[in-house]
Order: sequence, then C-alpha cells, then structure tokens
Amino acid sequence: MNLWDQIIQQLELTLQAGPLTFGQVRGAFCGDLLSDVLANAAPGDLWITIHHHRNIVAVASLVNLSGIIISNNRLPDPETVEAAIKEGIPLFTTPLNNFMASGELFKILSDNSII
Amino acid sequence: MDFTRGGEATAKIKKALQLVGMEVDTIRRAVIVAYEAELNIVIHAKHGSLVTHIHPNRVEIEAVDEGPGIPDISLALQEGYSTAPPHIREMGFGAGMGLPNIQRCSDELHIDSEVDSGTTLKAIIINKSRGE
Repeated sequence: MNLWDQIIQQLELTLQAGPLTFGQVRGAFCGDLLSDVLANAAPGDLWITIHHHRNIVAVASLVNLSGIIISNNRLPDPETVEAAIKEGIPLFTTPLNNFMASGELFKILSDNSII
Repeated sequence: MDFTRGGEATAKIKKALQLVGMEVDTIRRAVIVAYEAELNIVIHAKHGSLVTHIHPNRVEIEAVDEGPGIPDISLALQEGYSTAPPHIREMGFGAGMGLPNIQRCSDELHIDSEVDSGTTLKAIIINKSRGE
C-alpha cells in the first residue's frame, strides 16, 4: 500500500477537494495558529488543523504543504473547497481529533522512515 | 476588506520571486514577511498597500496603511502581544506572532506609525546564495 493510501485509511480521511495526483509527503505539522504554521511548517508537510476557513488554503499554498487535514469531523467552508481546488491542495476531513490524527500520522511517517 | 481573501497579494509576490529565480530561503522569508504584513492590514487597517521591490541582492517589502496605528512599537514586537478582536483570534490569527515573525525573517526592519493615522513597515530581505 502506498503512503497516501496508508494515511487515508489509518486517519479515516475523506477527500473534500484536491488534485487527481497528490504531492509527496515529506513530514507533518499540527497547529491552529496560522503564524506558527507559516513560520515553522516545512515544504511537503501534511498539516492537521481544526480550522476550516479559506485562509488555511492560502497558508498551505504559500508554504508548499502537501495537504490539509481538518480534524474532529469539521467540514470545510464552501470557499475553502473552492480555494483548495484552485490551488491544487488536497483537502481532507477526519473524525479523529488533532491529537489522535497526529499520533496515527506520526506512526505511519516513522514506520516509513520519513521522520 | 474581504478577510477571507487574505494572502492573495502575497501569492502574487511569491510567484514573481520564483519567476526571477530568487533563492528558496529568500522566497520563504519574503513570503512570511509579506503574508504577516498583508494580514495585519486586512485585520487592523481601513485600507493599505503592499509593494515589493525585487533587486538581485535583496527583496524590499513595503506595507503602508491608513488605520489605527501602533501606539508602542516595541510592545507590538513582543511575541504574544496582540490587539486583534476575538473573532479574528478564533480563526487562528491574532496570537501576537505576526510582527515577531516579520522581524525574525527580515535582515532590516523599519516601522513608522502614527496613532489614528497609519503605519508604514519596510522590511529588507537579503538574497543570500547557498553556502554564503
């Protein structure tokens, strides 16, 4: 199973918007302060957040993140979905909270020697 | 101002910097400076402009706004200090990290502000080539 398939299965992700092919996941970041994400997330990171407004796509795109996971069953705003399509950023939702989603993702990335 | 469109000006600056082949780290720092300055204008000011001058050895970002101004600039540069309203904070902004982020990513930073008039911020980011 490839990396994205593992992540999608283990984190119970639902794709809300995004391109046909996903970029390479080089790491992950979890945070809900946008300035923190902007300053400290690295290109290729998969970002876990509780936010669902359109500005998260702008941040992800500016930092070249590999995707966004909105936690705790929150749904993205319609403008967020539109922006994600336009910017080609994979946008997912998960029923897991930030902590559980991060834990699952840490395990997968660590097993795959990515982190 | 349309808050949800915050970041569009910075996206244009990023594209221009990539087009002329600035160093990856220069682009990263310029993007952080531009985005934080853009959001400050969107959150606090009545209106403003974000102008970028690109030179082979540096990027200059100038954010000029008409707005409430900053009464105490050294206080505003402290991490954690914020005057953003609650609804902005709920969206993950206004944590008092904007100006400190700008300062950290700039090689030179000048801020002039007059209360009830506006703020001018000028940041210079040196385009250091790898290994320099």
